[in-house]
Amino acid sequence: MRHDPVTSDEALYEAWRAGDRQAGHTLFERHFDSIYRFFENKAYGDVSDLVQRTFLGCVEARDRFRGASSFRTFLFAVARHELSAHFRSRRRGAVVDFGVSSVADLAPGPSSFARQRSERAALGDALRSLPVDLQIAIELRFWESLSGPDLAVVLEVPEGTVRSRLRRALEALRAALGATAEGQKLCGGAGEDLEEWATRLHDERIGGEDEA
Amino acid sequence: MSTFRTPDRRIEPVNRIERRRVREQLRARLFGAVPEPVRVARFILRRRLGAGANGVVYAAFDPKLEREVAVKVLAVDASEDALRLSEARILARLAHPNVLPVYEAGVDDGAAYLVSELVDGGTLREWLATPREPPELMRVLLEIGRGIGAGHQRALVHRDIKPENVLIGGDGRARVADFGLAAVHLPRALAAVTQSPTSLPGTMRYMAPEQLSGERADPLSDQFSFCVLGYEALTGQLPFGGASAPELLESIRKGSYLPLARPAVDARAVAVLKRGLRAASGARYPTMDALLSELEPGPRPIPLRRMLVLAVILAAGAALAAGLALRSDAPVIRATGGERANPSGKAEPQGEARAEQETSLAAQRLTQAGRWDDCSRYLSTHANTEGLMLLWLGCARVATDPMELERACAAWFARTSDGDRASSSPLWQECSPFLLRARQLARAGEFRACAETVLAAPPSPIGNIQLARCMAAVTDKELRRQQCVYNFRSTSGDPREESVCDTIQ
Repeated sequence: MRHDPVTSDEALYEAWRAGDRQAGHTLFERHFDSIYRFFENKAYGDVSDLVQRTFLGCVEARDRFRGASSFRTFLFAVARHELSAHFRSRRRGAVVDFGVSSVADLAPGPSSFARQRSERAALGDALRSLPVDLQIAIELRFWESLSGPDLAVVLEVPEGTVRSRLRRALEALRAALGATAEGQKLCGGAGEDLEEWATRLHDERIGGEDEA
Repeated sequence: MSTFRTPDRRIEPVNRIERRRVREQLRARLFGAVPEPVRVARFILRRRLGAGANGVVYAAFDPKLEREVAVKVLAVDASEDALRLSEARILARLAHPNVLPVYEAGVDDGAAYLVSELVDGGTLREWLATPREPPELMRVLLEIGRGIGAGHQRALVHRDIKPENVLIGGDGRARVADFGLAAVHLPRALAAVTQSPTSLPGTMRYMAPEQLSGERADPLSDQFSFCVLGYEALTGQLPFGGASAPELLESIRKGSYLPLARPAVDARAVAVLKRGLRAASGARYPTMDALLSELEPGPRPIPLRRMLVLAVILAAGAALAAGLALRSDAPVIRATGGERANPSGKAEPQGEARAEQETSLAAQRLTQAGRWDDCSRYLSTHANTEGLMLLWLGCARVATDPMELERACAAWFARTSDGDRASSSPLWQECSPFLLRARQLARAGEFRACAETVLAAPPSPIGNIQLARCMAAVTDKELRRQQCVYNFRSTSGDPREESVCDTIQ
């Protein structure tokens, strides 16, 4: 079966689950970049495995799809679970709390992905120093354009708490950036609206992506 | 909020390539798609071997030469990379068993890359995870040191010696990787570290204090890093502590070593390394060669040790020859008039051979105890064969009393013909009048004159060693260039490579 660009993710997902591998392939092509980016600044050396497990896992985790508004949101929720399982296995089954621990705590060492521009490096380091759920909140909301309700599904929190969590995440990010000289250049004006700042940070510093 | 994405030039080529590779790998694994080969230039990436601060390394295939290679994609913009690539090109000409061979360097679609030998093995860090016997440890350390020294002889400074940058092959041979690659990426990393009061990446712990203070690295900085690495290998821990760059610097400057958790494998070697760990670079060894000759087990330089072995073998050979009644044909057999002189002049060959063997054993016992002066003095009255004469030279050469060598050389010249010398061990070059004079000048502190004297002598490995000693206190650029040329002529001998010496700054 061929899948033209207007076939919805959800229809492709059902087809894939019914055994249409080409449908799965099309979904993979559509979402690979987002899922790759999700893991890139969290588990650099294991990105390939984690992306693979996310796409395999979404076939099995059908129940979780019910609450999500879109396949993409669902895929991020699966990715977050896979990341949690990954850190748990690295820490031999110890409890991993994404509300408290950061990537920097869970996978210390010079594991940040290879890059060299220092402002980007400072931003990546600052993000990895936040509790993982706060890092995910910022990246998905401002980098991947997820809505508040979608973010609530991924983080598994009530919709009402997403807004306060985002605010806390942005404050923590700004504080973390302020700790380094390179990061300070990204901090923006003191009175600036945090959400506008984060959006600007994305547009000016992170840039878009190739191979979209 | 922006949802619009533009094709982006700002994502680093190294990350772009890695993402493309993962995509193709998973397309094939999950959906049975035929993967498009991901290439860097003509090289087809096969699998990822590892990543570090300065790039990602892949096992790759070169379809042109049909061989497996390692491709390192550097995490920098190609436009900023001229320096590294020019160093890489010099490196490509540096053939040494303990330096990872670089086959090519180039830029493809914004990504700077290096192609090198694919080593079947792991990093020194991984190798050290298995407990190693002390002689094995020492062998690997010396090999690493020689690799670094080979770079220095081509005016290449490594700048980032650490266990991750040394590969140990399945054959056990150590290879120093990434010569000069740190030129661009380190200054930035260092700027970040020296500004941060709270953290210090592990890999910075191998850096010389001058590098940590933001100064330019030179061969003596490499020596420091090598000594940190060696110290860690022998003691199981790093020499200096400190949570941040300033704290680490303070520990180095004060020379306050962390207490050892367990005794060092080789306390003598650790003591040698500690000189290379001095904060003031002038207080370290003048060259890697000088350091290595101290580090070598059995307290003396590598060439000498080999020659001593040779001398002993020669002595044994002469003894054997005597046993076969060929004694009368052997050269240089004039008794010194000491106890060993034979009053009758017609000794039984068997007895003479045994006497030589006993003398040689007695001398060896002295060398093993490090009593080089005593060895030299003993042999000055007992050396009555060519083998024993060579042994005498070997001891005299490293004796503390400089007159021992003068006496041994004088005896050597008196008892051998030019023909004998031409066909015998290179050790006799130590007796070259140029080198004897150079030694005197060095003792008198006339280092420049010392260097000029050696440069006037025919190039020889022994001259090389003496020249390095002379150059310890000489910074003259032209002399350094000449030293480099002398080095070439005494070792590789390929005059086409000598132009590298012109790049010495």
